[in-house]
This record gives sequence, structure tokens and C-alpha cells, in this order.
Amino acid sequence: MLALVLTAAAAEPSLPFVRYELPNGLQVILMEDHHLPQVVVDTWYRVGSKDEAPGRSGFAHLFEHLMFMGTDRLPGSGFDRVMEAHGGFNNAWTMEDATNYYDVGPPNLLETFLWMEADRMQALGQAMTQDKLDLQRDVVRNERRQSNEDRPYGMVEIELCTALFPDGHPYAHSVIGSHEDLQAASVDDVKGFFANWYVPNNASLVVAGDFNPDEAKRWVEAYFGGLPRRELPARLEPAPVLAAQKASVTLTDQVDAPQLNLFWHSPAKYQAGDAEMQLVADLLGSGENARLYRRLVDAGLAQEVDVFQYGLHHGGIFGVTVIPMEGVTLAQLDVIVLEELARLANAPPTAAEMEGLRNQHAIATFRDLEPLQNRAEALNRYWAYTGSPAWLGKDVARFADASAPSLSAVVAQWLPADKASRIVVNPQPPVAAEVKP
Amino acid sequence: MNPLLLALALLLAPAHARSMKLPPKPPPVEVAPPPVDPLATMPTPGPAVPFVPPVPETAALQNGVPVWIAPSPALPIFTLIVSTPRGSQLDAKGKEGTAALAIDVMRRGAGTRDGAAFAAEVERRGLSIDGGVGPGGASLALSGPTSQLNAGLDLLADCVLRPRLDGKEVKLARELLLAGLQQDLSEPSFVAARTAASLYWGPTHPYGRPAGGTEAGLGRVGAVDIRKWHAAAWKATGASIAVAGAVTREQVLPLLEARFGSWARGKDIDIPVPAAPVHATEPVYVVDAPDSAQTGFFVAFPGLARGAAAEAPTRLGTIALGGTFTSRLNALLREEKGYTYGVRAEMDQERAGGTLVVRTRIRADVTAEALTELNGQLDKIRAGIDAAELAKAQGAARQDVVEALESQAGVAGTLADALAFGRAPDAVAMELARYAGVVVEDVTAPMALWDRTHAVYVLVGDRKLIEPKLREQGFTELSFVVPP
Repeated sequence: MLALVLTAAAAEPSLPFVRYELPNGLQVILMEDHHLPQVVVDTWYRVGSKDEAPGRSGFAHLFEHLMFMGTDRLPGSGFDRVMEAHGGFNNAWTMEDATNYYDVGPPNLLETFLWMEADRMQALGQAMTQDKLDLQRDVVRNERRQSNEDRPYGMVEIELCTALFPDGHPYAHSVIGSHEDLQAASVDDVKGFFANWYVPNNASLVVAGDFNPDEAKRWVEAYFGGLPRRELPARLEPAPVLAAQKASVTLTDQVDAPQLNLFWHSPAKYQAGDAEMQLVADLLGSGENARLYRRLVDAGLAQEVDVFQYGLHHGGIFGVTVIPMEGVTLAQLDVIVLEELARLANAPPTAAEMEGLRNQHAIATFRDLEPLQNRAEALNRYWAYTGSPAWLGKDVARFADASAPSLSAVVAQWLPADKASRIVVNPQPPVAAEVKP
Repeated sequence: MNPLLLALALLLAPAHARSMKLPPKPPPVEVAPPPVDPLATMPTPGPAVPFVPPVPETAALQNGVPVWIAPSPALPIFTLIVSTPRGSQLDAKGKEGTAALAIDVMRRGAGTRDGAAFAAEVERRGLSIDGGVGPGGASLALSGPTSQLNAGLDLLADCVLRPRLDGKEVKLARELLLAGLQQDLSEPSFVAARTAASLYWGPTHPYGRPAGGTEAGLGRVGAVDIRKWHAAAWKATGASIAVAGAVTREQVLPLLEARFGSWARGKDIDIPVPAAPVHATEPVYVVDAPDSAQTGFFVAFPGLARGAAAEAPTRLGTIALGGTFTSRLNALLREEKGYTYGVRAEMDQERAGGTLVVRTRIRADVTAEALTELNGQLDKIRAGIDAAELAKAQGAARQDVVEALESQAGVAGTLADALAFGRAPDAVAMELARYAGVVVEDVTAPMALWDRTHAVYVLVGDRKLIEPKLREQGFTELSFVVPP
């Protein structure tokens, strides 16, 4: 259970766990919580779209789909079938830095979960076929259509990569990839990717929930202990990028209103300045009291404003997205966004603003950690990015300790007007309607 | 050698060997046993541990408003939901969206604070107040740190009992709702669902009118309408309060009594809900969405009202059809055919009726093929499901309950839902017991609801691309419509 130490100012959460390493390099993290009859197995592989070979954008995510296509021991849709037959479910996601798989279900499924994860970590590659690849390639291309091409403004996140990062940079292409690259992926690519990255010394495994730790350790040892360690390929270590590659990009989409997007490079995840940038994003865009909400939405100039800080291993992205009300130009909005950034760079937030930001962030942290799966994932994420699953306390502290002047400082340092990349989405001009007899 | 094998070997050996003198026994050799592959056999899960969800504590305020409390000290936070059983059903004809707009404006200034001051106070304290509205009810949910419970209840009581409903805030909120609606109308799935509801229930039926409003309806709603809706909807009669989190009954009841105990009961309003129209072999309705890479599907069938007798077996059969990754529709349309990223079958239930629905987004170029395959599966499900599918659906339904109880917002929402639909405090436990008690034969009869001849099909896609193939595949009865 999420333990708490109450202080005068706020409750400080912690996630009690036990961590150890198998001889093959697999990191194992056990976190008990007997509150509900549920267990989670969360497996984090340190491989994401940043590790894709040139011409194979989207491959890490495509591979994630293929991990559910069966092994010789558990062929076909057995992974899902067995799990669902006993009340469990699973899913996975891929991002720039990592791929994460999670299994959730009643406690009696734990040993089966561990066996299935070990089975595919050991044997997925040898069972790969062209049919499986073709099928999941179709599913992934459908996902691209649904999540990007047919979603209003959905192509911005794809264009953003080349707008900010130079050719050859690990973040210069999107996680979903291009249709061309997805089409080019071969079975050999799949087998090679599996052999390179899906090895115990590139993974961490969290077991969380209602289980007996001695039993869990025994099963982990039995099923994962025999998997061989392998040397990992060299990873790209790009030089820091501070300037946007394209000052402006213009897109058209089937939307009614245009959209202004401003993007900057920003601090990497969990690194100096990352928490401050997240607080800046909240101050400007989160809730009806946010500065840009007041200036743009309350004033009737915009229908929507969204501000975010997205930290990654090799750097971060700070973004402001605004959709105007009818009759308002993007240039008007652009001026106001830059004015607010300049105001913040020159004068720190008020004490009341800082109090609200800290309180809202603390509550959001609690809410986020309520589901067992989120806690399991948090332990893996902390391990992967900081080298310590016990980083929750530090994570909370960096927000609690952020000072008002430090928010101004990061804005001044990272968000100057001349370093922004603008992506503008214009509505597609209407076509003459076809008149049928 | 094993003595038994040795005896067998001697018995079966040629006769001349029988009298053969046995050679001296060689010294034992340490031979390592063949390596055992621990992954060779998948372990079979043992029996599931029984789960009985906790039952909330119950109480009532002086004016009769029921209060259900689920204390959970694990985290110093809480969620409290105040609900009324009156929602967008009260929207006047031609003013669709009144309730949705009103619930938004109730949070934009209340008591002594104008909109800006109210938002600042809520955020400064780490609180949030969110509104929700449907045909048969509306709610306001207060969440935040337990240390702010007292102050938060002051703010919530202001929203419920003393909202300002200023004309300026109404205007702004309306503009934002309209802009959001315009954006939503770019989404094929949103358009498909909205169009299907209107066609299935009828455009004036409370379940057919969009609770979120229409462009025309919202355009006609003014501050006077908002005030009228608030006065009619937010009375103590029928209202309820659900609380979950680090609170105790002793702590929260006096605080609620002080704020809501004298809330006037008012006169209840009887809002009759017409029966659902009966559909018989309608055309496939198509909304043209030029250049869409995918076609949004929404198919509505006659369903069940909340609390209907066949609710549990119908839900389990629906999960087997399209509720999980390995459900019939996902297995076919996603995993075997690669037509979609996902497809879902589910139950939409209201107090006086409901629908069974299938929703998905299909690659535009295989729209007709997918529709044919979908129809094949709909015909098959009417024969019922097998034991393995039932067990899977029962597990999924149980897991849904466990997940809902993971967060305080989920617990409060579950309690608020049970209160709104007149269920008992142990409704969740009873629901689990009902799911567990369903046998295969129970599911067969309700699956007759998936009768294509009584369904309304809506496709939102690129007409020039999908129409020829639909006609080619025999879907000749097409009707082209615009969304409501």
C-alpha cells in the first residue's frame, strides 16, 4: 500500500519495495499491497523509438505489437487467451525511450504472468513469421490513421520531431513511424531487434500487489534465471540540441479552426529544470485560473489552450497549443503567448500562485499513484531514468522545493521567443460538394 | 537400471541369454540429469480467491438526502459527489445543451466569489470541482486533500445552492462549448455515436437528443434558461451524496449537515420517458466525411434499462462479443483481418431503456468487407456463447469491479451510480455474485437482442470511397444523412 508520512506542509508518499538483480542482469522490484485481490507484473525494456535503425521508424512500437503474437510454447493469441480466461488483462505502450508491458489480474494468475513474460522474453524471436508481421503492421498502420491522420490536429506530433531535432537525432522521428518505414520492416528486422534489445540485462520487472514475496522470488528465479545475458548494442548519444531545426511549419487538416503550436527544447526528464518547467506549464495552462487561460480563454480569444513539458532521456520538449475563437488570428494569440512568457521570465509567480501549483501537483501525484499498475510503472520508470526505484520522495521534493524565481529562470533560459518552432495548422479549404442526381 | 526394467529385459531377451551370467555391476557413474527447462510447461492458475467488496456506511441528512461513505485512510485525499436525478431531460425543446451549459456555469462563480476568484480559490487549495450531466442526472464532484475538506465543502455548497449563473459566464461557457462541439464534430466516432442515438431513439427523445447540446440549441440558451434549469434540477428531493477517502462518518456528516441539511426538498418532477421506437430493417445510414482514412461505425440494437433482470447475462455475452482483446469481434476484425485498431461491444443503459452497441473505426478501403464480417459475428452471437467465453467474461467483469475500487474517485463514482439507480449499499457485491452465478444457458436468450433487423447502422466515412464497395457487397439500402 502507498505509505505516507504526514508532515506539517503536506503528505509525503513513499513506495516501499524490495529490489534485487538476477545474475543475468534482470532487475527485480517487489512491492506488496494487500488492499485488493490484484497483482500487476510490469516489464520495462529500455528500448524505444530512439533506438530504431535508420529507415525503420515506428519499429519499436510495431515490435511491441508483435510481442503478443505467440511463441512455440504458447502459440497464436495464447498470451491474451490464457490471461483473459482467468480474469486478467494486459497491455503495452511504446515511447521514445522505452517499451512497457503490463499484466493485471487476480493473485492466482501471478505465476502464469511471470511464466508468460519469461517465455516471450526468451522465445518470441524464433517464432516470428511473415504472416504475424504483416498482420500487426496493418493494425499499427490503422493505429496511425486513427491516432494521427484522422484525429483533428493529429499530425502535429509527427511534424514536431523534425521541427525540433536534426536529422539522425534519436528523437527526429515519431514513435508511430511512417507508413513507408513500417512497410519496409522485415522478419529479419524483428528477429534482430529482439535479439539485440529483449534481453534480461535490458529489462526491469516489477511485481506489485497481493502476493507472497518468497513465492514470487522463487518463480522469478525459476522462469527468468536461465535467460542469458547478452551484450547490448551501442546506443546513440547525441549532443544536446538547443535550437529548433525549423522556425515554422504549416499544415492543413480537416478542422474548423486553425491551431497555433509553439515548441521549444527543454530540460531532460528528472534533470535540473524539469520540475520547474512542469510547474511553468501548469501556471500557464492548467485549470481555469492559469495565466494563459485567463488571457486567452476567459477573454474570449481562444477556445482552448494547452501547455506541457515532456521530459525525455536526451532532452525535453515544451509546448504551447492554442485554438482561436472565430475571428481571432493566430498572430494575435502568438503575441499574447510570448508576452506571458516574457512577463514570467521577468517577474516570478506570486506566493498564492506557487501555493496553488504545489498543492495541485501534490494532489495529482497522489491521484496518479492510486492504481496499482501506475505504482508498478512508477517504480520501473524511476529505475530506468534515475537508477533508483526509491525516487518518489525526490520527485515530490523537487516540486515542493521549486522556488518562484527558479520558474522565471527556466523560462528565461529555455523559452526565448527566437528559439521557438511554430507549427500552424490551417483548415483545409472546403471542396465543392458533389451533387448527386 | 531400474530393477523392473531389468526384469523385463531378462524376460524378453532371447532364451540363451536367460542363463547368462550377469557381468559384475559397474561402479555408479555420476550422470547429470538432462537439463529441465523451467519454461517447458506453463503453470496453470489455481482457484481464484473470493472477493467481497466493502459495503459503504449509510446515513441521511435531516432533509432525507442519503449519504454513503466509504472510508479509506490510505491516502490523505477524498472525493465527494453530489448528484441529482434530473439532467438533460429537462432541456426545453430547441434548447438542447441547457443542462450541459448550466453544470459548467455553476462552477464559474458562486456564493461571494466571481468566476475568477472561485477558480483561484479552488486551485490554491489543491481542490477540483468537476461537473457531469446525462439525460437522467447531473453531478458535481469535489476532490482534494482531506485537510481541505471543510473549505472544499463550502465551495461545493456554493456551487450547488448559490451559483451566480452570471450572464457573462454563461456567454463565455456557451462559446467554449460550441467551439468544443465543432472540434468533436471532426471526429468520425463522435459523429457516428451522436447520429446513431438520434436515429435510434428519435431526435426528440431524451436519449436521442445530445446531452452535450447542439449548435442550434446552445445558441438559444441564455442565463434565464440556465437559472430555470438549476432551480428545477437541484433540489434535495432525489439528490444523494457519496464520499470516499480519508474521512470518517463522524467527521463528514456534521459538515454535510451544516451545508446541505436545510437544502429544500422541493417538488419532484415526473419526467416520462417514451418507449424506444421499434426498428425494422432500416437502411445503413452514411455520413459523408470526405478523405477520412477510416470509417467510424456505430451500430445500436435494442438493449436493457439499468437494473433489468437479464442485465448480468447480457453483459457477459456482450463482453464475449466485443469486450476484450480476444473477444469475437477483436479476434476477427483486428487480429485476423487487420481492419481496425480495435472494436468494442458494450451496453449503454439509462433508467428507462438502453441499447447494445458496437463501435469501431475501420480502414476506409475495407469498410464493406468489415461490415459483412461484423454482421456474420452478430448472427453467430445470437446462438449464445460457450463455457470458456463465459468464464473469460466473468473474469473481466470481476476485474472491472476491482479496478473501479482502486481509486477514491472510482469508489465514490461507484457509490454515486448505485445511489442514482436506487440500488442497495451492497450493490457491487451483489453484482459480482450475479455474474458468478450465470451459466452458459442464461446467456443464450439475451443474445437474441443482437438482431440485425432491429438495429440502426451508422457509418461515417468517405462516401466516394466506401459507397461503391458497399453497394457491390450487397448493401444497397443506403441513406445519406447529416449529423444532428
